Amino acid sequence: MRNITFIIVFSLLLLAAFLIPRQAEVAQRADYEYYLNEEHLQKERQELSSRAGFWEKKLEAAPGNFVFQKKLAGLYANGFKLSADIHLLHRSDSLLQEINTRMPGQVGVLQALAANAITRHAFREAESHLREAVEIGANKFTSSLMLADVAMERGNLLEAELLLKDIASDAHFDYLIREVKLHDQSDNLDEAVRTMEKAAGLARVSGDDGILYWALSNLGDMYGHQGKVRKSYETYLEALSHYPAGLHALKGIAWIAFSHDGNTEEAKTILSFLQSVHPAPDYHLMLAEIAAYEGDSAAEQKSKERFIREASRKVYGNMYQSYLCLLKSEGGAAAEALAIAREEVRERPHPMSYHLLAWSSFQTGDKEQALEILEHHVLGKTGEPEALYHAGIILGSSGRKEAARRQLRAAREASFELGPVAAEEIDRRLEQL
Amino acid sequence: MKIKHLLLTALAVTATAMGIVWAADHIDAPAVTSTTSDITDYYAFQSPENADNLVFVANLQGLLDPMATASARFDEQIMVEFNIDNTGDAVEDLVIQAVFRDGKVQAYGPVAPAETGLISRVETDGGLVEAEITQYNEPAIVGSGKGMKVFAGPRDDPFFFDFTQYSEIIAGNASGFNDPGADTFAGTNVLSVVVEVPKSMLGNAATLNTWVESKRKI
Amino acid sequence: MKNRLKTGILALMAIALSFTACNEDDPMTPVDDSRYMQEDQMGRPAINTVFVNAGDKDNFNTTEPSKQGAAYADKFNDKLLALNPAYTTNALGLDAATFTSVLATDVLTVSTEGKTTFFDGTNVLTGRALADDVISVELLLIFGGPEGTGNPGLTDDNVDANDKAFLNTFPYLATPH
Repeated sequence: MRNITFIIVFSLLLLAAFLIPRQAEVAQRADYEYYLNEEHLQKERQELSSRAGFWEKKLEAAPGNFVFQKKLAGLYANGFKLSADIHLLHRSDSLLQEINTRMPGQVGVLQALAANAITRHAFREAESHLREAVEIGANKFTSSLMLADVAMERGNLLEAELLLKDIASDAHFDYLIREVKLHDQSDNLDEAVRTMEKAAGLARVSGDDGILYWALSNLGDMYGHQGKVRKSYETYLEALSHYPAGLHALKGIAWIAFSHDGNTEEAKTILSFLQSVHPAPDYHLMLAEIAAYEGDSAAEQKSKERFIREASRKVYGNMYQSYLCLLKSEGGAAAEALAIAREEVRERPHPMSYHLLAWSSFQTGDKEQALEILEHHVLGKTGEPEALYHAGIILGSSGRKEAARRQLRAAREASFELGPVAAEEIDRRLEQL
Repeated sequence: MKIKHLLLTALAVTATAMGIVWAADHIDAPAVTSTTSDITDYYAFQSPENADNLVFVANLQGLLDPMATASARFDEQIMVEFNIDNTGDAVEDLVIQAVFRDGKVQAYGPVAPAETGLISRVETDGGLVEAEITQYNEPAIVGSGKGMKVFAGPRDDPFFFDFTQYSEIIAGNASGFNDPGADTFAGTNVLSVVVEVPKSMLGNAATLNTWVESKRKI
Repeated sequence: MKNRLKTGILALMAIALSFTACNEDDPMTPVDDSRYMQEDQMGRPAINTVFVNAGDKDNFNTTEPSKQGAAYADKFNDKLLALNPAYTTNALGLDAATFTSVLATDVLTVSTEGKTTFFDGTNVLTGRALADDVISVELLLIFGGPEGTGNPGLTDDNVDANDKAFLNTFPYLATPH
């Protein structure tokens, strides 16, 4: 009798183990397996290349036609996003520059040049195009939005706020998403989320699935930052249901599988899919992080080296400077990192760039310099977990234990966002303090 | 033809937020979306089918190549409003408003608006004629009622102009037009709203002042 | 999870369907009382493109036609003389000030009693039909002088017709490419 009861209970438990997914695991392959298929991206690429073909043919028949050149420039820039082929971005730029030289003063061209410059992280160049566009005057709304983008990237929140105040309109998706960014940068995440939800509402009725995907996948990121991992996951899935070729949402799911679920194999599977369809350097970073978590330092090193090799290619210009700086500062090339950080501060005097400057100074052994930069340009000026984390380490090693604890504890709140490796490191540091 | 936003589709901003690895490009602004309110062209003429009617045409979102046309959509936040002044003061006495909901175009009016000018509300007193929005490659779906007809969907851009050469002249790069010229808009499409309405619904004036506006829900 | 999402989508669809059904039964379904604010407007073809300076375009698009004349007549006059410094009168016999003060109020006049055309040799500005070569008319009035014979390289873009034939029946515009 007892045996039978035992067998029944055991069988039930066994059954339950199979039927009920482990509560802790959020990412379930069955939910997103459909999207791990290159066909979705192929379809988008084919559409884009057929569109480019249409305008290329027209341009061939009318060489130098600036209307067709503009169209192509836009399509090539989008092509870069779909394919990670940086040469497309350069082709886009050279078409726009050709127009701008021959027929200067077109606001749309200046705005497109600025957009490309922002993609290349050439913020000062973007700013000069936009200032020219504002001076000319047409479509000031868009110029102001983009100037606000640049101001925020360059750490000038007050300027961004003034620019946006002038054109405030809750009816415009384009405006709302800048407001989101402003809230985010002012460390008001809850307000940023509320505003992004409003923007997603507008995206829903705009009829544009790409825009809706964009809003939802960013909302997914932000729920993650709030620590609402399940909500983040569900939002990524919804984003993908509107745009199955969405790589950013899949990347977010990979991060959930890793950082929340601890399911490194699943995360690696998703990332290897992403790498196979979209050969951008970015994915090596997450792979390095995963390898570190698994204690596989050879794999970690390999991923980091690949990232550095690929992201350092001249064609990328400034795009990956901040990551290169971080990797180099911790990888025995602190002097090189310091040089990059100085350049970053010039291009983008944002608290996060100063944080890089402090961190790489610290890695070269210049604690005093690191502390001074922290105090003047970082502490209290950004709530980015990575800055808090590094600030905590710098402060701790300078004997400022109480301040260090404050920073590290604040960073610890964002452990999902920072990932398990950093979270563990924070705990270790906190114990030592 | 107004060619102020030819390029907005080219805009796609990606500004990488640094710091965290997995959300490297979170918060990058996408292509500017305000173009859904761009009016590219406007026509008003006596109906070729019925001399007792006038036809109003508003075109939006110009220079769509065929693939782009298939995915172009009317924005539900946008109202297209035909304005009719029958007293000669350039202030609208009647409006016909087209809004887009659940895959349909709904045309209200002609009706005297409660308020004139830059702000409008949907004038539901004007009665309603609606039609399914015609999809790309689908035969035109025509809604009718009250003696009116309404259509909304993609069409060939009826405008023809060597806009390119005009711009080259203005930029000082050319001294005159080519012969033959080249229609910059050949082979491209627009999103059209077409409304046909009995003249008797527009008052008694021999001449009307008319114009079209796009308005965004606030 | 997928199932839950699916259920959610189905529920949404059900709501959408019931709305549609409602519209079918009662076309007077009340819409919300939202306000709509102007972003763009147009009367005569290409007037904005030709006469409005880049810095004024945003403002011109949101200035009521009844106020455009006062705000823009002088600017249009300057623009006309910048485009064609030798302008005296045009084929309609209008001097610069008269011509531009007409244009600055950007409305399209439409006859309710006869032929509607931008210009057909006889009728002037009684509407705008799809096939009207409006650009060449405007170029002629801007650059052609009193006889319409001045600046021959500038008075016609030599594109005289659309690339696709228009329809004889509603909605008249040709099917998309």
